[in-house]
Amino acid sequence: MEPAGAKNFTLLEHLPLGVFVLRPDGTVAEWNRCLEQWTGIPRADIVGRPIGDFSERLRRPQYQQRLEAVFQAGAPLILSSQLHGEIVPSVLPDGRPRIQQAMVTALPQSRAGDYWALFAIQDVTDLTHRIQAYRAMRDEAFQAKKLAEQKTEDLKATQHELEQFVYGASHDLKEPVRTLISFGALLVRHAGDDLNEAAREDIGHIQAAARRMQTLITDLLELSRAGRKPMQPTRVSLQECFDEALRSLARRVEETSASIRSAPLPEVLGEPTLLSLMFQNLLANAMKFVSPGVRPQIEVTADRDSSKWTVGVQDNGIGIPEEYVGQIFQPFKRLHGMGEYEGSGVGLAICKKAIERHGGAIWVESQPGQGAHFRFTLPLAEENGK
Amino acid sequence: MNVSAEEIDALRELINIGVGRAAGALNDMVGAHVELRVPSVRLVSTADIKEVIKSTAGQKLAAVRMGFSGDIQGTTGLVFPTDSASKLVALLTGEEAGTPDLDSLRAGALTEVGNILLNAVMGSITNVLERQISYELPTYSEETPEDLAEAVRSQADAAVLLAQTQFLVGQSHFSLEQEKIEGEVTLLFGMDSFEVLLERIRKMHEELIV
Repeated sequence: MEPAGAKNFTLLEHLPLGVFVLRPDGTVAEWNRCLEQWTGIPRADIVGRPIGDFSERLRRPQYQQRLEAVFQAGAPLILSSQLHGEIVPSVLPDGRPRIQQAMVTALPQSRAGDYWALFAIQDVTDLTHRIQAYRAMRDEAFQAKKLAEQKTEDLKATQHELEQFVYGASHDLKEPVRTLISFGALLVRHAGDDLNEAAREDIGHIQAAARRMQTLITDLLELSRAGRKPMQPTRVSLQECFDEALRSLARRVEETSASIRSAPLPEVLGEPTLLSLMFQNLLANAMKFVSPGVRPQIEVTADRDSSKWTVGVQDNGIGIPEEYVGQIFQPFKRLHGMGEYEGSGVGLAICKKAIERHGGAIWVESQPGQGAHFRFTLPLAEENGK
Repeated sequence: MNVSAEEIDALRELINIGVGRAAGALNDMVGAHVELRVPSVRLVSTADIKEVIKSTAGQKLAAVRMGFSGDIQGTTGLVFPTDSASKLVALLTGEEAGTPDLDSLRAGALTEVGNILLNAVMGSITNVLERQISYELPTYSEETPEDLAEAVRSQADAAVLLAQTQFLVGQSHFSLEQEKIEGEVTLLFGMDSFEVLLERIRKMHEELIV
């Protein structure tokens, strides 16, 4: 008995699908040309014989059970590539198995309730490999995104830590500085005429330094609360900020015999205390990070283009290895051991925050042993100075 | 449609027999430990089906549907929220359930899971009905509750049978650690006349009592 519709089987011969028909007893009734090519099994060798002799998979009881649904109830079957991979044994020219997806439909026979099973097998090897490649890409992107999110979280935590630290430290420093100033004043009053002119001047220097320190501490406190607070930029003489920084570093300049030269600096839009603080940090670093016995030489420049000023602070110090150039603006990022060069490791982070608050950018160009060139941008004073 | 509590129980029993058989087939097929349970079934009017599906499965669905015709006509389907669909396939195939993506390989596997379940449930129902039915090939689609409700309405009479289904999947036959996908999978069964099925159930009931 031929299955109904078998007269159309010649059509199936020409489909790019592997097509075969099974009888309820598991013997093969039809085997198309495509399958001959895929499996190397000629039609004449397989028709009339049990499929289990040729496909280990279809011999397994779980497949036979599922096929019962076709033979007895006429229900269709899906055999997905992900759960089965291979239905009939077929090896590609490159030696890999042909990945297959099959749909099995019931072919009704002349006696009601009798069905044969028509397998239509699609070669999904290319599709599978494409999706696997896509998945690898997708998973990588997924991982990268997760990593980036983690990094952002870490950075936020560090920033928060810094802010807490700066706030706490500034708060605790205020008190001793206030004592320094007020007892300086008391000393002048009590000692009165016992002080000679030189001693009086020395105390004046101490008090001036203490007041600068007080301002700085206040600024640091401000900075630690900053970010949310919008800045009120005014026209500022960058030259005055620079001079202020030099004054507070006078002793260091003397100790290191540093040579500091500066081009005339312009007026910009900004906050003077923050800008002084920044010069102070950059100059202090430039004097600090030199090889022993080397006299620091520092040159400050300012270049203008249509939208901004770019200020440069170039030194002859030990320089920064390329791999650290991206990290030095992170809070507490110290490239050297504590004993080697002193400092808290927040200086450049404060510079970055200060510049970012001004809507500018700060970066460094450096090679080890060849000095560092810190550069930052600031808005032109004309923009809203009129 | 008036349906008694006993009739609902009988319907639930029918579906449980089907999903039990499907769980066995899945077990054998994927080599994982799979348990399927149907804790509740209810008849929902076709007017309400959209809201019910939305509340159980959310706004984005993956559905495997299979139409049938013959002495009775209708459609049956398995409806997942897309994220639990991809989780289920990942569990069954032993993949990392990292991304919620339902690419075409996962969609293929999900279609097969649907096929196994729907065949089994339809098997127990047609056993009771003793009617001749022919089936269409199952189709996979990602759709909204609105689309699904519309498609079901065109093939069903006033009511649709919804069965809340629980999947418990262990990584292997011996695994104690079980992942559960629960209460999110809906088996849906609509046909042109539920009365035929209910009639048979009543008759069987009477035969049992007599």
